[in-house]
Amino acid sequence: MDPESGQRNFLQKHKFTVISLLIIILAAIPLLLLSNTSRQKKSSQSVSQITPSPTATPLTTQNVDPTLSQTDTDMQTTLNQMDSDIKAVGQIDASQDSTSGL
Amino acid sequence: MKRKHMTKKTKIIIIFSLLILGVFTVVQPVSQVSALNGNTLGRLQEKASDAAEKASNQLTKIQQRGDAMITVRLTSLQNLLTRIQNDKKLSADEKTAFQSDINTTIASLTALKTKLDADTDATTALADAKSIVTSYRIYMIFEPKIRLTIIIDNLQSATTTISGLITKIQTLLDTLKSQGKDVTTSQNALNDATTQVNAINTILATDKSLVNGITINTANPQSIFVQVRKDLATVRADVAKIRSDFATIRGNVKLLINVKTGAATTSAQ
Repeated sequence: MDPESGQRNFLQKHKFTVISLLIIILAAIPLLLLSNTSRQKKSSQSVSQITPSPTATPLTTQNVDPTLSQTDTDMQTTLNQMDSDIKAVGQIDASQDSTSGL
Repeated sequence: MKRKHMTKKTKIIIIFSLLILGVFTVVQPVSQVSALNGNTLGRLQEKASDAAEKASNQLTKIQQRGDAMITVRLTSLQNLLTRIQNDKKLSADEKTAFQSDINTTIASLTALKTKLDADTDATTALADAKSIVTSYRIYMIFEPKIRLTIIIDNLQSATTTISGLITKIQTLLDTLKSQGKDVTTSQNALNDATTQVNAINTILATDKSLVNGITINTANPQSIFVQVRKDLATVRADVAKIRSDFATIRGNVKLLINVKTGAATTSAQ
C-alpha cells in the first residue's frame, strides 16, 4: 500500500475531525491571549493600587534630614489645600437654598 | 245699533293694541337680556382666556426659574467632582464614596428637572421647584459637608503619615541614644509632636462624626460647620507645632551625627 495514498486516505477519512481540531486550536489562541492580557492587567492594577507604606524604609542618619524636609513640604501642601478648601466653604452662598423667591 | 258696532270695533282695536303692547313688553326685555348675556359671556370668555394665559405664563416662569436653580446646582456638583478627582491624598475608597454620593444627587436633580419641565400646572411645578431646595440643600448642607469631610480626610491621611514618621524617628533616637549621644532635645520635640498628633486625631475624629451626622433634617447645620472650622484652625496651629518640632529634631540630629562619642562618629543605622 502506498504510504502517501494511505495518508491521503486518513485525511480524507478524518477530514471533518481534522478541520474541527484546527478550528478549536485557532479559536483557543485568541482566548488564551485575551485571558493572559486580562491577567496581566489585573496584576498591574493591583500593583498600582498598593500605596507605599510610610514605614517601609527605616530612618537613618543619612536620610533623616531629607525625609523630615519632605514631610514638612507635604504638611505645607496639606495646609495650603486645607486653606483653599476652607475658603471654598466660606464662599458657598447658603442663601441660594431659600424658597422665598419662588 | 251703531253704538253696538262701534263698541265691537273699539273692542277689537283695544285687543289688538293690547296684543301689540304685550308683544313689545315681552320682546324688548328678552332682546335686552339676550344682548346683555352676549356681552357677559364675551367678558367671561375673555376673563377665562386671560386667566389661562396667566396660569401658563406662571407655569413657564416657575419652570424657567427651577431649571436655572438646577443648572447652578449641577455646576457646583461637577466642580466638587473635579475637586475629588484631583485630590492626591484621598484613598480610592474615599473617592468612590464621595463620587457615588455626588453622582446620585446629580441623577436625582436631573430627574427632577425632567419632571418639572413636563409639569402642566403651576401648583405642581411650584412644589417641584421648592423641592430643589428642600430635598437637597446643596448649598446649606451638601456642599459644605462634602468639602469639610474632604479636609478632615486629608488631614487624617497626613497625620497617619506623621505618626509613621514619629515611630521611625523614635527608633533612630533610640539608636543614637544607645551610641551614647544626648538625644534629650530631639526626644522632647518628638514627645511634643506625638502629643500634637494625638490631639489632632481626637479633634478630627470628633469632627468627622459630627459632619457625617448632618442630614437635610438637621436643625442647625451651620453651628456644626462653624465649630468644625474653628477646630480646623486649632488643627492648623497643632500642625505648625509639629513642623517646629520636626525642625528642632532635624537640627539636633545633624549636630548629634557630627558629635564624636568615643570611637563612633556617624553611623547610627
